[in-house]
Amino acid sequence: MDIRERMTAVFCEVFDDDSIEIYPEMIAANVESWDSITHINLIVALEQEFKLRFNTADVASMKNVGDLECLIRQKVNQA
Amino acid sequence: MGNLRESNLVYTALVRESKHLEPTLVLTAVRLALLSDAATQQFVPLLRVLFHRAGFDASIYEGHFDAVALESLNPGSGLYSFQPDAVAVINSVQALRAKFFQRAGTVTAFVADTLLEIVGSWDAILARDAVTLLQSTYVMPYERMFGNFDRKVEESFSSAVEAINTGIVDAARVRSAVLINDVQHIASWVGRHRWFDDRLWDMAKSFCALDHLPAVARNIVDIVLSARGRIVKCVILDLDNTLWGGVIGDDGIDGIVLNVHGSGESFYRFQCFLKELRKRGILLAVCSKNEMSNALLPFEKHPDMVLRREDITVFQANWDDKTANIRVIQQVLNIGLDSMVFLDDNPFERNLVRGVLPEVIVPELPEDPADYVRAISELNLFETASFSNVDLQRTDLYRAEAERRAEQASFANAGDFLRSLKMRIVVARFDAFHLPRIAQLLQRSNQFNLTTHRYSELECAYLMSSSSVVPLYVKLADRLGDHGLIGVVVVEPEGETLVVRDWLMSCRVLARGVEDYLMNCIVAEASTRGLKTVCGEYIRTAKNQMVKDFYGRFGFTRHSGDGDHALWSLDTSAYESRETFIQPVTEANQAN
Repeated sequence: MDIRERMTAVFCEVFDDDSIEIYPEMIAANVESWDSITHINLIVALEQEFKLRFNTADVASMKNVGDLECLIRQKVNQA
Repeated sequence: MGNLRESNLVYTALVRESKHLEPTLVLTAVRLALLSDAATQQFVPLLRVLFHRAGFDASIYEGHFDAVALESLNPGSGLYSFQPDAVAVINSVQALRAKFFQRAGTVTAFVADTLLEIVGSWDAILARDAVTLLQSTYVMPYERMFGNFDRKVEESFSSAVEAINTGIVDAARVRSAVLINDVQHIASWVGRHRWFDDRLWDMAKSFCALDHLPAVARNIVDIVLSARGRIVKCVILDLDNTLWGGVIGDDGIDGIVLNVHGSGESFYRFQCFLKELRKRGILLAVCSKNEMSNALLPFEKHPDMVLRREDITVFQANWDDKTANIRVIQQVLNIGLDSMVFLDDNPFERNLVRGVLPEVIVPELPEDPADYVRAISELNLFETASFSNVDLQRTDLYRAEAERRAEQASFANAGDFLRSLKMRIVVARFDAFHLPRIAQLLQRSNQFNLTTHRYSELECAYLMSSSSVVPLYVKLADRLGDHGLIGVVVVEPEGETLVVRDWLMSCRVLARGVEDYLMNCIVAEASTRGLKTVCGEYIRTAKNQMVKDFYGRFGFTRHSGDGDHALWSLDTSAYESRETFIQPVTEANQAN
């Protein structure tokens, strides 16, 4: 599975919706149950899936799913 | 309960499961309020799932963020309109740290003020509602301004946290309604370097790293369930390769592995652990595939055996199916299967018991006996909401009962036997001295319990001081021993009727005429007050089938309701007093 697919699987798990498709422009407002708590759940689930760690600043600067994917690619490549 | 112990506690999986809870099962309602200076939202799905697995449908109220004192001191707060059964106060060291660094006065004053606020909130809640209150301990912080010297400096943050934790426990010891939710224990077990996630605190005021939230939720569920009477009362033990290494029938007394130091030390340590459980009131029983004479040998002759024959309340050693033996143990002790834990090194026996008696708690045991105590401790099987002298005497009580049963067999008829017991009964109004045991009995009695109102100690105190209600406790002693406080009857006059609000008894004393004696008392009480009718109520639970037709047996007629909830009434003039062999005595005389 590539990074996008693995991210999708995590989104499906966290939002409990197997039909979720993610895209770079996607933001929290596009998913009904995406609130501050689910956001934390998502961040931690992604950290576990990709065995990486986001900084507080990383999380704060993310504007959409595209940013998130970019950050994950960066961190995975560094590792 | 078994379900709850064994299932894994993965945060994401639990959150997902919370969205698909089956509503069709028969569930008991529980109302839990969360008050915290950390975020409570993350606890809610976890608590709902874990309660659901234990057969409870949880309604959960979340107090406003960081408003513990506000919610508890304001009579109009959401907390009080929610009317909780239990309130969990969850305090985070992260919030405490922020206050510590902003303190204006001395550290001593900071500790005192913090405790004053915590205990003040409890007392405000307890004065208003009869609830079970769960107070968390603070997790010890990681920073040490003085290094190891921190511990020697009273003003250090870690010393302050330790002093606050000690203060919390001290205050809870004198308030039976306050139970400790020992979060510090959980955090130190998982390791504080894994426990804390300061990013999540900064972003969302998360109590700890998400991975460990389920353990905290499980702890809360364990405590609430124990306060509602879900407790383990008996541990059933296999012998060969469980209490000692090897097989007594083959290896003989010199061949089994058991010693204070060396290869048999793990069995010795396991027995010490079991002995401590026995001392604190957990009954021990043996269920072993063995010849009785072989099985008894180590208990009588082995120098390094910690457990002795008198520690074992029921000893079943034969070649029958273990589930049949567990049923025998259950019948002799007269306790629920779900209050029994079965420990056996053999996976075949464990699976057999799980399959045939799914209510019995059957933990996996690790292959290496060195890990037995640790594995069992991790499951937190022995949660309790009270501890009294009765717990210490329980093994003796049940052994005396076994003796009575043996004697009973030698009498020609039941009447002769009962007469020979020389039973002495005390029936008296609730008093402060007996309140803890009364409240404990109200929590624990399941089978002979007509209405199963689980009054807390505080509610019992209300009853005690009520002018209209007559709350009575019942104590029984006989030639062979003292049963202690074994029953509670609460009656209340209402118009022309004497209403029996509550009637429950310990199953240890059934079939001796105590219920006849008490019914005589109740009818006499009604007659003395000039009341024409006695009215009784039956509310069905999963466990009180035994008393479904209890009132019918005394000539009551059912005038409304069905098998789940029925009202019965009796014309006092039509009642024929029952013959009993019980002598009424006063509290002062019973001891003699």
